[in-house]
Amino acid sequence: MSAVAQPSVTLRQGRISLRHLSVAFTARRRPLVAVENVSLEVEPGEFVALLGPSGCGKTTVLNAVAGFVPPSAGEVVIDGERVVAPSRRCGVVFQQNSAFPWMNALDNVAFGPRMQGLVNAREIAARYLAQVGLKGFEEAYPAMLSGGMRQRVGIARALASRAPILLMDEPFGALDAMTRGLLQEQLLELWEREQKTVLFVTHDVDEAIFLAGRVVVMGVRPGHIREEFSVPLPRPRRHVLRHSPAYARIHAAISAVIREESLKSFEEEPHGH
Amino acid sequence: MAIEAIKSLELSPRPPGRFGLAGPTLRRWAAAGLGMGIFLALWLVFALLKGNATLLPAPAEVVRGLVALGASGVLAADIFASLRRVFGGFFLAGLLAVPLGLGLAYFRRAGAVVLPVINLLRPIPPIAWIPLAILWFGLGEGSAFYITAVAAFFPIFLTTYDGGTQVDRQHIRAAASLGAGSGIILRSIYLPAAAPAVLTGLRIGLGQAWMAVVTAELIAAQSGLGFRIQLSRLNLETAEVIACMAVIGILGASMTGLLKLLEKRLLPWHHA
Repeated sequence: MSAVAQPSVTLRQGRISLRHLSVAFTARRRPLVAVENVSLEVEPGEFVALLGPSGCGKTTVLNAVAGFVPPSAGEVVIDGERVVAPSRRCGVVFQQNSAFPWMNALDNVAFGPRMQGLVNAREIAARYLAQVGLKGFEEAYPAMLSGGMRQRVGIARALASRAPILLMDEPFGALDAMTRGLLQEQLLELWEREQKTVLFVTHDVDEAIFLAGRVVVMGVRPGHIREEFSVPLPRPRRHVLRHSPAYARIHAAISAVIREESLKSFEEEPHGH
Repeated sequence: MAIEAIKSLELSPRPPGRFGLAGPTLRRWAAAGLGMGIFLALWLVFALLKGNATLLPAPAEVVRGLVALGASGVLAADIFASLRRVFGGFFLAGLLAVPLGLGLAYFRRAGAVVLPVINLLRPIPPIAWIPLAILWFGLGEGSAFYITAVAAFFPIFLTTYDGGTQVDRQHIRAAASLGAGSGIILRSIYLPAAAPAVLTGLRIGLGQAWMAVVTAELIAAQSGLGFRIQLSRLNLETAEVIACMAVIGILGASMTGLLKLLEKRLLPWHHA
């Protein structure tokens, strides 16, 4: 506990600034603008959800913050430093199966601490595995674990590197509804304890509202920020919150915008590609 | 709270560790024994119907031939000669094909230059190389090594290359975001990710080398199981021909089985 919770140290770190970020790819020899002119400030310790229909470039934004793809214009700045490559400042949790299959759960989680040259990497890893409820599964290879357990290995691995920022790309998207709901609650418990900045990509309106303090809705063609909603629901949040009137109001407002954007991409689909 | 709920929800799946092997293994052996029994029985029936030991000797006669070959010491010498050629060529092929396959998968541009050449050479059967091999290396062991190496090279190279190109980009990204540099990514991500394909390639390559050596010995050798088959055929010792064929089959299957066992040992995560 004591080694994990260091809010005073981490709180000052983890500021993400997107300044007029554009990302373009070459698809079939033609340039394709995935994200255009996105500007966003995320405060240290904030939980922000990037929400939008498929093809709105939300994952591309996340990849740019992680340093996986270079901006074609604008920049990503983390704690005053421009992002040019993947770095330890961001722990990344992917949609599925990103745990290294050739390492057992413990070695997966210990990978980050080992890269930092920490001699007690195994202890750190064991602690984070326990935190995500995987005590007793240290020796298990990913192939022996369920999808939900594999995702928790991925979350523990990202946490164990003690990056001030956690980037999550639809981490629960491939799971069944029951497991997803439980993991969402668990993630909130971890976030409340660790005080990290979280940028969470999802296409699920419920998930975005339940988790985030701020929901950034993205639109399509090209990907851009359509509207921002703050979610003033009290914390700590538990699943009963989903039945409250305040929740329903936000849900209705965001859903209306999302529906508009989804229709747009739906209607343009045949001509777009 | 949520953690406890998840535990009770998910703890039922397979716990880590090995499963009890006795039951299924026993059944597998019984099934294998049944198959072999049926095969031998059919063989015996056909041999009795034919009643001509030169055309189709019965299993018992083949065993007698095998014992005769073994007692005279030629069988051991032939097995040794064939195995040496197989492993010599296989070793050379592996030494060349594994680094080349991984390297070309890693450096795609170089791969684009080399791959068309390899795709053109691959359909040429190893026996077609025999005339050239004899011209270049004479009738000795050099030719045999060359032929088996050619046979083993292509499956090893292509499977390794395939494995190298299929390394998950997500794993590389994850490692990079955890602070791994390119050296560590190569060692800790790229190589283990390609390892199952490399071992599969080696297994297929060894099988191909084994087939090629027998073919080569039928045509151009003074020792080895292929040579023995040819000699026995000329002497109309059909039982000995089949005895040598049986030895080839048993040795080949054993080598494949051993390599599969080795794969399970080396890559427990892949067979979990």
